[in-house]
Amino acid sequence: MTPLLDIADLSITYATASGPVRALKDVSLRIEKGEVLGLVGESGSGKSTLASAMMALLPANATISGRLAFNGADLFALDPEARRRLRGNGVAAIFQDPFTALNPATRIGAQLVEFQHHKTGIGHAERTRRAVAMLARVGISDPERRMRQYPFELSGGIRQRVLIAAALLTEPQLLVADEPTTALDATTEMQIIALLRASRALVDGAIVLVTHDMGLVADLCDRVAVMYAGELVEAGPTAEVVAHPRHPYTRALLACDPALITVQTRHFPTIPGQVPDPGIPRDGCAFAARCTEASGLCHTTPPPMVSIGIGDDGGDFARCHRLVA
Amino acid sequence: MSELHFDVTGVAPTPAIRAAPAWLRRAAGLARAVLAGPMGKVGAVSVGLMLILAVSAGILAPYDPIAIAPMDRLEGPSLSHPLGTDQLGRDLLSRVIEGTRTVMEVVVAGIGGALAIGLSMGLVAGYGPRLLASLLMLISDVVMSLPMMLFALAMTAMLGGGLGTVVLVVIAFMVPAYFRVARGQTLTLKGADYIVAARAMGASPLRIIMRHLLPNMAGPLLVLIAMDVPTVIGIESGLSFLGQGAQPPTPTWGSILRDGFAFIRQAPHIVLAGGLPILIATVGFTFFSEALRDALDPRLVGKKARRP
Amino acid sequence: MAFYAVRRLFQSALVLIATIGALFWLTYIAPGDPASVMLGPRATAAEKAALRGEMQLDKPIPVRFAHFWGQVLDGDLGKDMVTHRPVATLIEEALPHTLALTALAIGWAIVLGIPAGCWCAVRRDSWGDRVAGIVSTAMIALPTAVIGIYALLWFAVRLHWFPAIGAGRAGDPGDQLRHLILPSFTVGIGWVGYLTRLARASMLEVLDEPHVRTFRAFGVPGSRIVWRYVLPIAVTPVVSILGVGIGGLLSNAILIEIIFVRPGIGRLIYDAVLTRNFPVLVGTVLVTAALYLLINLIADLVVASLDPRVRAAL
Repeated sequence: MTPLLDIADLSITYATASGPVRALKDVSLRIEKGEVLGLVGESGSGKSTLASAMMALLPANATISGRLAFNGADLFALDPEARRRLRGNGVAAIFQDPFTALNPATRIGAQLVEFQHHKTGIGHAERTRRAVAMLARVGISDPERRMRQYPFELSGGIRQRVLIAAALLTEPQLLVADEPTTALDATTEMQIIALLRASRALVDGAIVLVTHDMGLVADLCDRVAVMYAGELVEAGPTAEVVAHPRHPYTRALLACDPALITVQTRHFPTIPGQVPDPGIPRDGCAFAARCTEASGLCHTTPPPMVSIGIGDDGGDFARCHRLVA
Repeated sequence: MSELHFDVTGVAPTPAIRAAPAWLRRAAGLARAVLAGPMGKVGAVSVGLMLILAVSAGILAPYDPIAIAPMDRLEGPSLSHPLGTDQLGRDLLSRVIEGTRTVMEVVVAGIGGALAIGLSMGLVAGYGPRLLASLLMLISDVVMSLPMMLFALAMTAMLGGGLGTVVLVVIAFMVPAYFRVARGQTLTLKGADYIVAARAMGASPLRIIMRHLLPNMAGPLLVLIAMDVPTVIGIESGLSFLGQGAQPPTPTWGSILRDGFAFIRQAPHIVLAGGLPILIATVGFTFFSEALRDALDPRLVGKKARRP
Repeated sequence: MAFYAVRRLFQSALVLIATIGALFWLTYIAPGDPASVMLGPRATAAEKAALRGEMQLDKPIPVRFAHFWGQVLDGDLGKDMVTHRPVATLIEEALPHTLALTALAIGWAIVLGIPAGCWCAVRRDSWGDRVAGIVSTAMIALPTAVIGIYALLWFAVRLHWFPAIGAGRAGDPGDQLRHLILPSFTVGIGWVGYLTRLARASMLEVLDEPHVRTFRAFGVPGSRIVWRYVLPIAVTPVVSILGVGIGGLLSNAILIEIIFVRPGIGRLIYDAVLTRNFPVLVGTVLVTAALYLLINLIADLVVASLDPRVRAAL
């Protein structure tokens, strides 16, 4: 069965005023229809770039090598017009900051109708009706009145629901949610997570949840992929990765999660050191400088993807020299 | 987690090196930034040219600017008169050079006066009672909003013509802008921690103004001044062109335009001569002020840094 | 929205009264006896006394000020010193010419400047963008008087493309339009440069905002995003600036009217200044300032209607 999203050796470099910046290096990943994938990493890990690539929304100064196939077709081999037709029509996105994601000078209703522009078969009245129905489904009360309001009249939580509604209105096969709760307070965050969980039933395809919160992933996702410094260091079923993390970074990340601390302590655990600068090329493993188990080989040679677990097609792996038997 | 130990056994002190004062270094860095782009280069050259001409007008002018020579009237450009002569036979190149000095005097007097008054008003408004500040703001709004020529002509009607009136008009129009910058900066900086600390240590308001506020305002004020020079040139040339500014025989660029306008069909070289320095000066100062503003913009400071 | 409009109206009225108050004060407090200045050195004592009585120069200033406004509200702006025609009539005759000049100048600026600015924003940092940047800066820098004279020299005197003087035959709109083209372009040219830069900066700012990215993520075509969503927001600062800049345009119109020998408010003021004709001066400034404030008010209201956040913030 063709995976919904098949990424092979994807590398993306941005050309900036201060030189080339490597955002992604040799990322390979497969996402099947019906699953929810969590993409975890710190700031600067490349997860947002990967999410943008999945949405086919990369900036002009990006150089791409490798392959990203959506339903079998390589996105980057298509011309820009074909990519535009996919956006909002197969691939849908939910962004991080609901406070700025909506156009401030247009009413909610008009925007929701606009977001359905790919649906040429139905007219304005029908699109309005669908929008109202979807607003109700995402838990917004009095949806007709909301349709006539401007974004600044709504709270952050409601705006994010509107954006989720917008994404669902396009009936996507791939929904990419880029840190949808980061800008919200804790109470609202819980509501949005519940909504995302319920939305699974509405998405006839896959969901990718980009986040820095491992707890969220454990809660919502079937599989998890961990990113560090532009590379994919581990991927596998969530339960498996959380219980038996194979990559030192994953282990360190889980150790830092306050929710998972079992022994009483006065020191808040952190990973010493800093994320390497993406503008400076490096040899060896990206995590070597901060890894407690690093050896000489780790500093000189990039580690291979080592297949683990009983996955049939090598979709579960970790990048570490120490795992090479 | 292991703790870090610093080695403090001993570091040899470096011999004292005389560094250039901080403001000089900053100024040099600024100059380099301004001269980096093409706009800055053109601007700096024009500004430099104008200043040189203004300062050494007496030496550089080949003829006496107000000497009449009716035999040579309305001659086009030639070797003896590179810009030609006007309707009274006066050498236009000399008049243009002398005019540069006169115009620059108006600029310095006008902007200087506006700066002095506007700054004082702004500081007072920033520090002083709210009612006074609001009143000053209202007045400045009124002045800033009026069509300039209208007001300028009204003032010359009441006070008579002449360059003195022009300077007064310039001051009247420029004061609101400097007032606003000064007031804005004063209000912003008044609450800054280091100002509060200085006051707590007993520094007098005057000392605070001289040591802290003025240096911080220098950047935006400098840009404003550079941008205002073309405006002043415009006011002067406009009023002189209308006969309300420089009175004959005083040469300014505007009065040369006025002389030439009457003879525009038979001797167009006169207006060309009068307009040329205006073109160079206004475009030059504007380019210069643009380059200066870009060089001072803190947002752009990091962008051009190259990676090691 | 209505509340905002009322507030702005009140502010404008206040500024107008303050402006005329200042002018009034200056006009009649200027050094020298106003009667002598207005009538000239050959006036007899009786004539001066008559003028003083007519203009109530012996009464205190607040009384004169109130009397003035009373007359204004009656529609009487005083009489021209020289021809004794009502100032209101003079203004009525002159104003349409100046308004036509200014309106056409704004037209040039909008038609050339805003599309140029958008074009530059969409092609940011390209070769064309850089050249346009330098050219528009030069346009802003040049004083109108010089551009006017040079334009007159080049296009009218040398090339004979356009007429040099006057407003054209009355009752002949085509001829009048021909006479308007060169002067209005001259007045507007600085604004073409200014609007280009403003439109470009505004567009770039809006294009960088996250909501544009949202539309792109939904596959909305770029042209639709620009026309329907970016432009209305980007255009609001341009509209505000136009309101503020009317003052500058009127200012330039005065110079251009004199250079091209056209009838209009500029000529009226200039002649009044030369002859120290105070009633005409005060009346003209009043009408011009009122017009200017009105245009500003309209511009602000347009902005408030385009961007609902402005209404809410106030």
